[in-house]
Parts: sequence; C-alpha cells; structure tokens
Amino acid sequence: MKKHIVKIGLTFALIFGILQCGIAQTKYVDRKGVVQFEASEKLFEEVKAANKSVSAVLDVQTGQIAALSLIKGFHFKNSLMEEHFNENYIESEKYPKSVFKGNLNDFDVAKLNENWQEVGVDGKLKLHGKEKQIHLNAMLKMVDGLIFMKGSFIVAPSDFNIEIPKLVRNKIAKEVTVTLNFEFTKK
Amino acid sequence: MNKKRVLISAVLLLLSLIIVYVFFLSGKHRVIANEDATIVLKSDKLYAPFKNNQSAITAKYIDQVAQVQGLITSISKNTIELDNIIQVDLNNDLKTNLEKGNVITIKGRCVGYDDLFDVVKIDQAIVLPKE
Repeated sequence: MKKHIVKIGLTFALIFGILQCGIAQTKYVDRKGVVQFEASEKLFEEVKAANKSVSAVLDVQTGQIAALSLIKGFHFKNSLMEEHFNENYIESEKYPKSVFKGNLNDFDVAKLNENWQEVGVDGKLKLHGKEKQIHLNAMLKMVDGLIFMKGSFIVAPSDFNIEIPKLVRNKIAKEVTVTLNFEFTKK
Repeated sequence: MNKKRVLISAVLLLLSLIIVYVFFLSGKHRVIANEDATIVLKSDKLYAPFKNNQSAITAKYIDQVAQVQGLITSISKNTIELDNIIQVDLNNDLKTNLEKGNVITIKGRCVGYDDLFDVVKIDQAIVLPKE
C-alpha cells in the first residue's frame, strides 16, 4: 500500500515536472534591456536618459510581454537634470518603477527569422501612478535562438500627470520619444 | 590699501563662484567607486526589507552606496547575480576570474527592487578585493 502511494506520488511529481518544463520553455527573458527617452528641444541642452538594466519577459506561446524599469536606473548626461527628474518630475521615491504589460498581436514565434519583421504591440504603461494605453509597431527577429526586439512610441508628460514648471517649459519637448531595445534569451 | 582690499574681495568672490560651480552647477556625476559604503550587509539582509515591502527601511537604502557580500549564482558579461536575489551591474567588464560559487563582496549603488525577476538591483559596482 505504501509503495503504491509512493508510486502515485512520483508519477504526479513527474507529470508536474514535465508540465513545468513546458511552461518554462516558452519564456524568454532579458535582464539588460535598454529603454531610452528623449524630450529635447532645438537650441537647448538635450533632455535624454537611458536605462540599460531593464527587465523584460516575453512568453512566445501567448505573445505576452512585460517590462520593468527602475526609475533610478535612468541616467542623464547632466547629473543636475537627473536629480530634477527624480525629485521634481517623476517623484521616484514615491513611484520607484515603471511597468509595461502588453501583448504582441497575432504573434507566432515559428514565423520569426533573421530578418526584421513588424509586429504590433498593445499594452499599458504604468508610470508616476498613472496608466496609459500604448500602441507601437515593434520590429522583431530571431538569430541563433535569441529574439531581438526594437521599437519606439511617443508619450506626453501630461499623460502621466507630470507637471513641467513654466520656467523650463520651452526647454522640454511636449512629446517624449521612448525607444526600446531588447535581446531575449530562452529562460 | 584700498586697492588691496578690492583685489582680495575680487579673488574671494571668484573663488566662491568656482566652488559653487564645481559643487552645484557643473552637472558632474557621483563616482560611486570612490565613495565609502553607507550600508554594509549580506545579500539576504539587503533583500529582505524590499521583499517584505518595508518601505521605511528601503527608502533609506535606495541611492546609497551598498557593500554587499554573497555567493555568485550567475555571471554574464558585466552582470553578476548574488544568491539569486541581488543583481549587480559592474562598472566595467569583469577582469578577474570569478566563477559561480565564489563568495565575493561588491560595492555599488542600490537602485531598487525589481519584482519581475524578484531581485534587488545594484549598479555602478566594483568587486572589492578579498580582505
């Protein structure tokens, strides 16, 4: 009787293990993704920052994608700008991260090859305590088992309740271009 | 006498302007590697308050220079993971021959908690020599 129970237990463990492998294998991850944004105005100092340590997970079976960037990980050329960005605009102490959750539309991993292909992405970007629906046409390709993804979209500070003081309003563009670059490896 | 006074005040004014510029306006970045660590902890002690949402503690950790000890669980290019809970982005590509399983101490800036991968992130880090 005891043996039976052990056997059943082992079978369950095995099935569960296989299932888990099945789930895990469809996930691709990037721990060092790059997200950059720019809101520069001509004739003024560039307003640009990059985060080279963005986390991203892509589930190739469902097409779901999630990316997380820590606000403190964005670096500007000018440290003063970085300070103002953190303290006055984005309030990184209160809102330490930005998260994107979305879906690749009609995504089929089997169709990926070494040439860039356009894939529509829809999702929500959460920043500064506000959420905004985002659509972008990203480019994807697969080389040596790695999935590369790049793209860009435009947001406005007002979309996220970020107020730009009058004094600097003409130095910061109303439209902020966000670009992303991911290199996913199989988990 | 008067001329001397004018000269001295002019020099003093210039000096203070230079100091103001260097310290407040030049926009130079901190050099984490040259700063002393303000938090010295083992990896799990740094991770726990972030994981448990103890924001009163974590608020004091973010942006601070942390010295952390842990066991290497993965290495790729200039990124090391300690005990699977701390992700360390090194300043430069790794030159010393570290391997998985080595216990090391690093010093870097605490960036925050990443709940997607369940790690605390540290950037601008250096590997400290063994004591």
